[in-house]
Parts: sequence; C-alpha cells; structure tokens
Amino acid sequence: MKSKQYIISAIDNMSDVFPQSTYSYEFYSSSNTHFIDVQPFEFYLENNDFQMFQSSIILEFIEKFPLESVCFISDDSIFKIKEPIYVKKASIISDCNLTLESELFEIALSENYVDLTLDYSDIEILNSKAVNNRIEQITLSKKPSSHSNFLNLIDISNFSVPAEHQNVKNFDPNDLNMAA
Amino acid sequence: MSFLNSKSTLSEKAANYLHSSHLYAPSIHCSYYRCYQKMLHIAYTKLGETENQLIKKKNLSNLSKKKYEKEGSHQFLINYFVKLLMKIDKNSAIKFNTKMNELRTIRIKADYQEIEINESESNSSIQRATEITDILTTQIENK
Repeated sequence: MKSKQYIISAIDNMSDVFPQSTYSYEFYSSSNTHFIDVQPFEFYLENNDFQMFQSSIILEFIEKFPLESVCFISDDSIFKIKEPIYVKKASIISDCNLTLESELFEIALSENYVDLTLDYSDIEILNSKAVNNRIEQITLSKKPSSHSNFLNLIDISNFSVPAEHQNVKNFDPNDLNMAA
Repeated sequence: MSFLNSKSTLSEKAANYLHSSHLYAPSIHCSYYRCYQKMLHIAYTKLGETENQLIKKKNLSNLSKKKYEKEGSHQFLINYFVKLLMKIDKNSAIKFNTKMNELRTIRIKADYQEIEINESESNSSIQRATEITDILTTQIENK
C-alpha cells in the first residue's frame, strides 16, 4: 500500500472511531511529510483516546515507511492546510461542554458539519433548512418527558449563529452557560 | 561535553543571534540543526550507536542505501527517536514527532524554497527547538 493510500485509510478509521472531528490531509513532498489537521483544537489537545490512537498510527506508519513521516497538527501549528488532498468532515455532534436551559432552540451549523446525526431519544428535530444537501439551520426540542440536560447531548460550541438568527425566539446565546 | 552537544549549543546561540538580527531563514536553519545535532549526540553517547549501526538497524530491503543517503538520513533518525520515545512516554513521543517534523519541513522551506520567511516563523522555530531538546534531555539524556 502506498503511503498516501495508507494515510487516507487511517483517516477513515479515525473518523469511524472519532466522528466528532474533522480531518484535513495535505502532503508536503519536499519533506515527505503527511500533515493531518485535526479539528476542533480542544479535541486534538485533550482527548486521551485520540492521543493513543494517534500514537499507534504514527508507529505503524514509520515502520512501513521509514523515510517518511506523519504529523498531526491543529490550531497551534506553524502550518495551515491550504490545499488538502483529502478531507473527512465531522459527522456527529458530541463532546458537550455547554448547557442549554431553554426547551427549544435554533442553531446554524458551522462549515465543519455537513451531516447532522441525532439519534438521541430525548431530542426531536422540529424542522431544518438545507442548502445544497447541507443542513444549515435546524430547530431542536427536548421531549417533554426528558429530564436530561443538553450538556450531555450536543456540543454547540463550534456553531456560528448568523446575526439574523440571533434574535429568534427561544434562541438566546445568553441561555448558554459554560459548564465547569 | 561531546563536540556534537557543543555544536548543538552553538546552533542555539546562532539561531537566537540570527533571529535578533532579523535573519529569519538562517535562524530556522540553526534551530533545526540544534535539534539534529542533539539527536546525534544522544544516539552516539547515551545510546551507544554509531552511524553504521543506525543504518543497519533500518530495514533497507526495499530501499537503496543511495536513496537513504540522499533523502532519508534525517527522517530516519527522527523516526528512530519517535520509536524510542514511544516506549518511554507516548505523549512526549507525539509532541516530539509533531514539532520535529514541523521544524524539518519549515527548515526545508527556509533553505531551499522560493518563499519569504517571517519573524513569526523564525520565533516559532526557536520555541519548537527548545521544546524538542527539552524532551530529548528529560526523557532520554538525563535518565
């Protein structure tokens, strides 16, 4: 297997295990280095399971390709991925670090999320707006019987909320409280 | 102190001097060689390796020695230390792998490519070189 194919396969495997992250891959031929940008930065920096997964990929890769390297980067890198040859976008929302107190809210999804998967039993989708097959806006609700907190269900820390949506009834960024 | 370790220290001083003189591309060159000389010093003195032993350890079955000498001796040494650090401390190994390969790539840009190198890149390279040599010193050299 060629090194680029190996990297793409590794990214697919990573995405299966950690679908909440977006991976962008660029190869620098001058240094034979395969750069993989991982977003969001907090996940790249703090997720221990990802660190372990990353170490196994690095080890296996340099055993197979001893004159090349694979380098996982994020926001703190000197390099920015400019011309990715492969991108695997985040497919679910997770890793909550925010609370939402209102029962109903409306969000606009960031560019990172092309596919919103919600299979939580106590959340329902009231309506959504899609442009070019990408969900851009969605209204969610907790079911009346639910006592759960959005804290444990959805990460909206990466969502950008366009100005025209910021005054939508029942969506108020002030309703969001950072979790400890 | 070994000659290579002394050279690594001199490269650090040269990188800082060149940076403060606004000579950013050559400063990056020195930051990189500060790390490379440190790796060679540790490999030869602490780990008892010789250059020939390092080459023999590599699986050259499908890679010609010529290709190794032309393209891969630096990368091979970096990967040698990544594997070594993985056995000692995985987080340090990951950090070393990322920062060393970033530094190696920007050194190639600084030395050979038709692009401008700015102050920020030079400064980041000095910081990375310090982090890299700190990992090598604390995790291997001083143990």
